[in-house]
Amino acid sequence: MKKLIILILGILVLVSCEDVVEVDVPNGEPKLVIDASFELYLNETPIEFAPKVRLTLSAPFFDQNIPEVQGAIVYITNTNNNTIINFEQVPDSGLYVPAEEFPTPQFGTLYELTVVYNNETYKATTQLIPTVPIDTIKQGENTLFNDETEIIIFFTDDGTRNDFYLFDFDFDLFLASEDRFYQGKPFNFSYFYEDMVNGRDVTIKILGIDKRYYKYTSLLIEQSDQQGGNPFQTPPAQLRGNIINTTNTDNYALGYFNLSEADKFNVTIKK
Amino acid sequence: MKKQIYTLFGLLLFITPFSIYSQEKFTLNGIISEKSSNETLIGVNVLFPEIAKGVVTNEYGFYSITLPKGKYKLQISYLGFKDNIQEIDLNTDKKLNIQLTEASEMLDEIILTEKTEKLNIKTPQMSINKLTAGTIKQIPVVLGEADIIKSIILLPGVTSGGEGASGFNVRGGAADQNLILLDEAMIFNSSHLFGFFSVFNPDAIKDIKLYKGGIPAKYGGRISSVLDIYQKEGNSKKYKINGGLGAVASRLLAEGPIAKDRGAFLVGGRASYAHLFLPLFDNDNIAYFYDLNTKLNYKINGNNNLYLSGYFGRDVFALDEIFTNTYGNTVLNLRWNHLFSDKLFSNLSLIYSDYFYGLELDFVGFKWDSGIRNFNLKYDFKHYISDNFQLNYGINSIYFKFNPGEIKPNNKKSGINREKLIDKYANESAVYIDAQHKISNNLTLQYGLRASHFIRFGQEELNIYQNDNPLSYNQELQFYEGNDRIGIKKYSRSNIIKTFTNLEPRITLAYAFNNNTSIKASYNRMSQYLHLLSNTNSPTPLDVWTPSGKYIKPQLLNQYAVGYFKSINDDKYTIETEFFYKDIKNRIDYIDSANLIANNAIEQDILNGKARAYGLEFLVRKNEGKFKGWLAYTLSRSEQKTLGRTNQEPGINNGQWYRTSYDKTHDISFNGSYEVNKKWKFGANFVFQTGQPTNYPTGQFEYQGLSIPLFDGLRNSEQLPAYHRVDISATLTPRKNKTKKWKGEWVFSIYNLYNRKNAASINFARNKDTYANEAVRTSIFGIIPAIAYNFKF
Repeated sequence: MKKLIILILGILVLVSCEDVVEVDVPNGEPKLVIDASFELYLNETPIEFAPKVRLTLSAPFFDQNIPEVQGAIVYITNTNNNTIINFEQVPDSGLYVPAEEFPTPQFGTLYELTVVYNNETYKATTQLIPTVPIDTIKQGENTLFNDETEIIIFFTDDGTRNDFYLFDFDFDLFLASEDRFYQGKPFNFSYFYEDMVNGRDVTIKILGIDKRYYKYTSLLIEQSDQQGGNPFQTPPAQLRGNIINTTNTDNYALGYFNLSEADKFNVTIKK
Repeated sequence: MKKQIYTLFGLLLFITPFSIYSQEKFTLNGIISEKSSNETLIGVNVLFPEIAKGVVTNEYGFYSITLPKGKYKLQISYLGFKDNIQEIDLNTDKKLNIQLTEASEMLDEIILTEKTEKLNIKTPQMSINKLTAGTIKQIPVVLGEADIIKSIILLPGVTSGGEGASGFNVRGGAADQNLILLDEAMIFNSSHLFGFFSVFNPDAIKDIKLYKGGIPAKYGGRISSVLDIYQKEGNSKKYKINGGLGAVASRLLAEGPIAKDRGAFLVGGRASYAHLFLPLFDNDNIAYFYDLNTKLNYKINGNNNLYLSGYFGRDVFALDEIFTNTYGNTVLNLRWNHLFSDKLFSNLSLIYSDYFYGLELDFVGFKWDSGIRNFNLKYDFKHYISDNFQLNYGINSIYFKFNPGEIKPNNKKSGINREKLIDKYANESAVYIDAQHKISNNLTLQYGLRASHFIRFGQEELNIYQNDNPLSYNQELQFYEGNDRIGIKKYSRSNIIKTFTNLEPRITLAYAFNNNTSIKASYNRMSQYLHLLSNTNSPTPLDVWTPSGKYIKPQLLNQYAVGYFKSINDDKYTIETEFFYKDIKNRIDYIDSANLIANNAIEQDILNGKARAYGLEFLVRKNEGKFKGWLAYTLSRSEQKTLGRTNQEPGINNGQWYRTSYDKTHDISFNGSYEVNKKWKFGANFVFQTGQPTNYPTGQFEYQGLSIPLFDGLRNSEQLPAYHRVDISATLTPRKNKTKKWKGEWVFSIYNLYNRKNAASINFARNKDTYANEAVRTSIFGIIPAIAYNFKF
């Protein structure tokens, strides 16, 4: 729904002008960022699941490089049977991947992520959230203002539960949606690519998420988006995820631990 | 406080009979109007210079004054009009209707009449700014469209969220705290095209008054200000047409008699050109607005007048048939003026008004409608008890129906389920009494009391929560989140969910040292039962109004103001200085993840906070001569604070005061006009404002390939670069006009003369091409030349 406002604003943007300016920004203390969103593709054969955790630090806004965190301890606990899956660092990076086979996650099981960094312990718990498959994707011919490319996503919502979805349109473009207005219905909506994507192969994903992650990603997308010329700005939010620093609560970590059932669909954008 | 109120009433009762029976007196009353059109005149001074007494005409041009028997010199004066001076022998009660002649018409020239706004040194009214349509039309504005709201923003204590922002802010108050009345009917959205223009057609407007403080008891329901706008009544002598062709919109207004000297009509229309901002694109996109003002008046006899006013306006946007957005106000008002006696004037109003917002998104397959409508019954009396004592009293009852939204599929294939958000119903009623009391030649008081009562009626479903607590603070994760409801309660419409009652005392006193210098002080307490749910810098047309009730308390304000007023050289120059302080209770604030759109449980996303504002205003005006204008300076602060509900909760912004997004520390505006000769007239504005409070990121982080600016500092602790610009205009009135019936003028204007790129916002994001983070400034209006042609015949 936030997109509505943004759309209306397009009109404002047309009469306005934008330019890059130099601004002195304050610098906060670096914080640990835990990027741990896992996607489970049950509809693929074989089932696809490639969990990875990326640890970085927050940095001054204009810095080109994001410091990656090395040498942290990362593991996930299946709280049903108290088994632990250890993660190991990919050399010279902030990426951590399972050191052993990660059994396919099960619905209804609580998973706990533990990260130990700088003698402080960070924990987060999550569950696998189901999704529905993408039925099909078509390319449309509508545009909003200029030369956007329209794709139409078709899927059928599950009427037995309240669903929240995160759509991943590739190119780091996301959209969060809830099924409140299309509960249990075959539904379709259009997405508009602003930049030229003609002739490219695009993978579009649908992720099942919970309400809290829906709110988190909605804020994240809004805050990262380049909505220039917006007199209808909302005050920036403190982006608190689901990670708790159990050693020192005030030194909270950024990021999220999320586990989604997902489905993907490949399309080639026609010229 | 109750005790004070009893004292106040006691005082009223004591004074009233005392003044009436003290001496043999007679009453003079009547209506003052413009000779050429019979248009009644508001705020005309009816003076008896020998005894230093006087009265001012009310909103319907009526005056009444009671004086001891005797012969007097009577002087009627109104700036821009020829003084009317006559001898009067007051030996019986008399009715005296007087028609004034425009000063300009005597010279047989047409220049826009300049009923310059006069400063009333002695009246117990402060914090009021008046503007006439004439003044407004001379102020250069963007794209050359004369505009009421753009004009009042040049006054001290009034600002806006910025270019292209809806609404306006008065003395550090929010945009939803302004009571905007068009012929007494409430207007919920004052902007066209998201704030580029206001909804009032200046051709149809007679008079506007902005109350920033010392608000009389007759007004209520909004806590920051009252913008009281009166439409013209129509010419009951002859048919007249005037209009204008502008760069953005064109106007046409026709008026004339329906019965000579007894009744008149007025119809005015205004429309912008379609494809307004979008001609550069080959899509079939449109953006336009239109509005229609109508008025009928009929004089039944000397004691009875009827008025019917209407307004209808819409904004329409459509993008290639996949997105359509329509919104606007509708107002209808029937009024009956009745004179019960030569001392008792009454007005009964029956008012309907609504605000509609509609949206159709074809690419998602839905339609969305929302709105608010109200019926208002108002009965106001003005009682001219003696020359030293007048009473205003009345009752008012407004019934509201809120439609927070309905979503519907827009075609058969759409997967959208129909959903109706729960309608809400409420009634706001009030009684008031207000006295204008001249204690001595130097001291005049206006004091009154308004008692307001709000009923929230039953609705289909009301959410119920554990311990009545709709949201919790998650200690571990450190954020607020909504609690799930534990049930719903069903009500019938006649049930009462919640009621509120507030007593709102108002007092203003004026002490005049002499005819040219006075000090004034005022206090007003006000309550506001409606809240605009808006978490953006300036309101959007999509924002919905919601009534107070079980989970939202009414906003309560105390405002104090003191001022020093000086008139130099018989009002050639006037100086007004005021200091104000106000505090507001129950200002709602929003948690970080608040969603205000289509939310049936808004109580889960809001916290109860408070606000305060204080400042110093300075206004110097030159009212006469070839050069006229004003310079306004405001130094102020507007802040908000939302504490946690318990010690374990941080509230918003860690429970600390933060500047509102409409806080402007320094605000300087200059407006001047210079009349070179009858042919040429020039105007100029200069505006300087401290940049709007904003937030700069304290860092960045990456998540799932997104680069996200991190805002960890205190809210609104940074500010945008200062805003300033100069606008100029030139008006050409061709000389050949003199002899012709058709009279025209050209208005050339340049907005933002030195093309300053004023930042409307600075946005922090990653550049999509270079992948580097950058700060992007958006400026809305660069230099904009415009030309308009106005005519009348």
